[in-house]
Amino acid sequence: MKILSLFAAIILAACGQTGQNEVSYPILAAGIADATVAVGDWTIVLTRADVGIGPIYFCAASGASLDLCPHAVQEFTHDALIDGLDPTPQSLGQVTGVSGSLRSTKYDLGISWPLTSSNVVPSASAPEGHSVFLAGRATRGTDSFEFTAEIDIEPSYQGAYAILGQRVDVAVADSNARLLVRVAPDQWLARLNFDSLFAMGASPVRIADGYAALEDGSVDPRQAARNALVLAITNTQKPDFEWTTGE
Amino acid sequence: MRTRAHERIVRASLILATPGLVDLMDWFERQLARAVCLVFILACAVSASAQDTASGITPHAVVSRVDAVYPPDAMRERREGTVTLLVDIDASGAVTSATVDGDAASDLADAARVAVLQWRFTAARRGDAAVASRIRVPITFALPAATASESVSEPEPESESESESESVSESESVSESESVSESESESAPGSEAAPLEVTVRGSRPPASRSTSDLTLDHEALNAAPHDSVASQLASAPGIYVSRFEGDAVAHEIYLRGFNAEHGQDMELTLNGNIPINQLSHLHGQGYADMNFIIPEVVRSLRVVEGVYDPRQGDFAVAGSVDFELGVHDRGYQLRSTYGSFNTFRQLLIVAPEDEADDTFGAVQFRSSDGFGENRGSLSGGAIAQYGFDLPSQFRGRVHLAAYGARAGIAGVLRRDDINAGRVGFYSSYDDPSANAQSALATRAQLALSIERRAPRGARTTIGLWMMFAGFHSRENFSGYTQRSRTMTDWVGRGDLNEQINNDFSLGASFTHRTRRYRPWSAVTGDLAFGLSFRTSHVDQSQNLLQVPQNQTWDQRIDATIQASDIGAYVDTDWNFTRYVHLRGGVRADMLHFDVDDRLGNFIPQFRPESYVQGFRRTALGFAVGPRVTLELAPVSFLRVLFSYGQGFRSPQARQLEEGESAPFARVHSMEAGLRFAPDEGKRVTVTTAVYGTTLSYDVAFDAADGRLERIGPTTRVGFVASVIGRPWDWLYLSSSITTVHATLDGPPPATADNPAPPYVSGQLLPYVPPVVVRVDAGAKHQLATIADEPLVGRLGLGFSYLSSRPLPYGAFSNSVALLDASVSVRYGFLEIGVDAYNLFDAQYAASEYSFVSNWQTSTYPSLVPARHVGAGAPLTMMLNVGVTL
Repeated sequence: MKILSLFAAIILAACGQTGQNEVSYPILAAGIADATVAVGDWTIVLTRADVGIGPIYFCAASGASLDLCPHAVQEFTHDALIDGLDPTPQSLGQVTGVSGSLRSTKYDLGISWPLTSSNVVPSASAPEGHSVFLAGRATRGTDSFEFTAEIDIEPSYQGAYAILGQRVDVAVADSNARLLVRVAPDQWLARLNFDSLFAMGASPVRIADGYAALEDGSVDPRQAARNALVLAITNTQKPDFEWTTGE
Repeated sequence: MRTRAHERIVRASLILATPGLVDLMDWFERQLARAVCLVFILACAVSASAQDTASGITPHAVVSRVDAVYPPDAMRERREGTVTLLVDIDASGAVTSATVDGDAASDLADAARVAVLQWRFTAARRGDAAVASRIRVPITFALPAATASESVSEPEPESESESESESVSESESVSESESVSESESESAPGSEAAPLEVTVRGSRPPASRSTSDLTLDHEALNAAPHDSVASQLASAPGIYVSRFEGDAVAHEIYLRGFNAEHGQDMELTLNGNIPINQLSHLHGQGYADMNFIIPEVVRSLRVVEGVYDPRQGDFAVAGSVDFELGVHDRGYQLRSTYGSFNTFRQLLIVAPEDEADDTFGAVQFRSSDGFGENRGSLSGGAIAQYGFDLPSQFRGRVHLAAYGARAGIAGVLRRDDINAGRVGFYSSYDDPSANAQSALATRAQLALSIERRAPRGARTTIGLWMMFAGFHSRENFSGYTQRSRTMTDWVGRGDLNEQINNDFSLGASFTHRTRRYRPWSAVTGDLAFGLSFRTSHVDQSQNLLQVPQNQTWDQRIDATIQASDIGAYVDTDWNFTRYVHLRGGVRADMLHFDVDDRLGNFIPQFRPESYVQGFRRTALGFAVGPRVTLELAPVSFLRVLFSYGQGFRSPQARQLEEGESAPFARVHSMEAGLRFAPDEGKRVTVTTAVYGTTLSYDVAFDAADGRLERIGPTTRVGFVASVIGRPWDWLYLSSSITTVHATLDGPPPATADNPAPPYVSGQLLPYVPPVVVRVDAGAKHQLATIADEPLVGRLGLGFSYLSSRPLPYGAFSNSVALLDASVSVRYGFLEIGVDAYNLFDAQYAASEYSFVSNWQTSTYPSLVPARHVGAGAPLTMMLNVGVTL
């Protein structure tokens, strides 16, 4: 039997390959180095910026929608917590899959809606059960207030993912690679209206979903801030995926 | 004979009539000739009658006659001879004894005696009194006219007079016919009558089309234990069969680098003209369920690996297999089998001793709990055939078969779940959708064939057949990954894929082979033509079901297909001296498809309806391809064969576009080989060959939809070597090794979800085993004699090795090595034996796949295709008790 197996192995080895190889390489995450950011007249010092992430799927299709990415080339099928204020690479685990070109990704941010579940499910790594949890202090001269932001970014419907079709462009040929996920919580704050938040007169101000409109019909500043953060996290300042050759 | 002679005179007289005379004279001459002829016939008849009754004796006449069987060993060893029997007939016409006049110690003599002892006569009469008599019956065992594949000796075309006897004596099936009609007999008891001459002809094997064109006879098929007809195929070099989907689904076949799935690349036929493959079957194009065939009634099977015979039609991409049904051991056989997993099988075969091999009835019933969860099965079927002689050397055969089976399906399991202990190898996922998997198969068919053997090898056949095959499966390959197309918010209800395929087909075939011509002294040959027709009406649907009520939560396919195939071929077989033989011809097929795709032009939920859903389309296409074989026989023990052919596989009808010219998958097949057979292969035959095959587009299994999808053009090159030996008369050995290097020649078709599929030159084809090894061994020996009855023992071994197979996405399967064994003893009418399958209890995967599934065994589903396995059966022991009367 060993002789036959050896013979078969020789033939296999001598005669070709299957076109794709199994790959496994580390995925790491990094936040920002400077927790201080200026937004208008306000100086914001973030004291906490936790981001839940995973699972992450990398697809051959250009737009990783549900229909166009029924199967992935590589994936990170876990959830993890990223400290957005730590610029040093934080190990999240391993990306596994097969070699090939990656053109788009889809992933969840701390909250998933599995195909077989009727409700969304926060992951074990989700900060305070949310996708993103921010805390900090805003200062303008002598004005100052603390704030927290509890951001939930849920998949739109059952079996979907929070982020669909984010473009990437890389070909991973083997396991000699490394993926770094960068989050930029400072940039998420760029469109927040700290004046209106300060006008609420509270400290800390809790930015979250679910605030009703004000009596004059305008959007509650906390709700508006939450919406601005969601827009930044899911559209303008999405987490960035950066592949490098491993050391 | 006298009648034929006078017919010739009539014909001669008619030919002599001058065609230029006026009609009246012409008519007069013809009538005169006929009159003269009639008078002559009457005179001869009166004369014969006078001779018969000259001594006052009315001779005996045959009432019923049992065909002598040409002993297989004698046929294989090409032994001929005449056995003369002295047959004593009592006053009632019964044969009381048959003694051999001369050397009695031969299997030919035994075969002759066994047959003649079953004959019945009218009694000879002296006046009104019946009297006993003795007659002399010479029975000649003669091989068919030699062909290049049988012998290097040049076949000599018979003279016209010889052809008359040839016409009645040559029979492709092992049969017997009189070459001379009965003449007078000696009436006095104890005296000898004039001979009643009988010739037994062995079958003429089909002309060899390649080194890998072989026929597995009864001995080869029964050397190793086989629990199904499909497993018998594995005795042919390079073929491996497996099945994980239970007893009601067709086997998967691997041959020479082709994963023929359920038959997509292998043309399977029964009795030469009844197709087993089904057109545009939902579970796989060319789906061929052989389970309806009862293994014990397979007399032989011919395997042509490659496409070199113009008779090979649709699906003959990797090759073709034809099952010839017949029961060699005549009588009544009752066989009961019981063994592992509460498996029980009951078989009854009725093979009347006074009928030929192709006449029999067989019925079987089988039940089993299966070797793991959700693997129980129940099946039953019957096959009956009746062969009958007709006047003018016609012979007919009616074939009937009916079969039904239902079985649970455990389904495939993720390898990582097995390795992590989340599910047992022989288990099923603990999930209601997984446990709802099952299959139901039914088949009923009726066929009629008539053939006529004409002088000097000419042969004409016509066949008609009709078949209904039903298939209903519920399988969940992928767990929970699907979303309803109809209602997009219906998700996560389980991917239990229901497939229903009901096929009603009928067809006909006509073949004619001319007599053997000899245009020059060293050149002989014949010409053959063939026509075939089949039309199939297929209703098929595919739905997603939600357990436990099996509610339909999505519709995927709802179609009716009308498909027809008209095929024609011309074939020639010429010998240029005894050293060079050239065979070949052309085959053309026209296929027509009419598809009513009721879910075509699908209207998504978000789009307002502006038309009636559905898409009807038609397509028609031609496939034409030559096949040619050059055979050189430089010395008597060596043959060198070069073969080339083009074949095709018809498309899956639902994938055709309107007006598309039916894009057949075209195969180019070539082979060069040697056949070394010293002493005419009596003790050993060694064959080696190199082969190559290219396919214009190949298909692979898509688990999400449970069907085959295109993957692109492919090439296979390989080497095969086999040895068949009979070192002693009691021992049969066969071994083979087949290697293949199967590659994808271009990237798979781009799709929206993968616009640039990864591809590297020389990429290995998934699922193809690079090495297949098979060994069969059978020993049969008389162990002792007890009370004048022999005690015969049998031992059989079958070994299969399948090397590691490449899987999609860089994975490789484990290799498979299986040993089967059987042992039995027979004493008189009783036979007891034990069969052991997978003797070493190897845990192996009958099938392996790589695809995406979600069985909720991890927090987050993996979307990277993962290895899945379908378990093969563990050690299975079966006790057989058989009674033959």
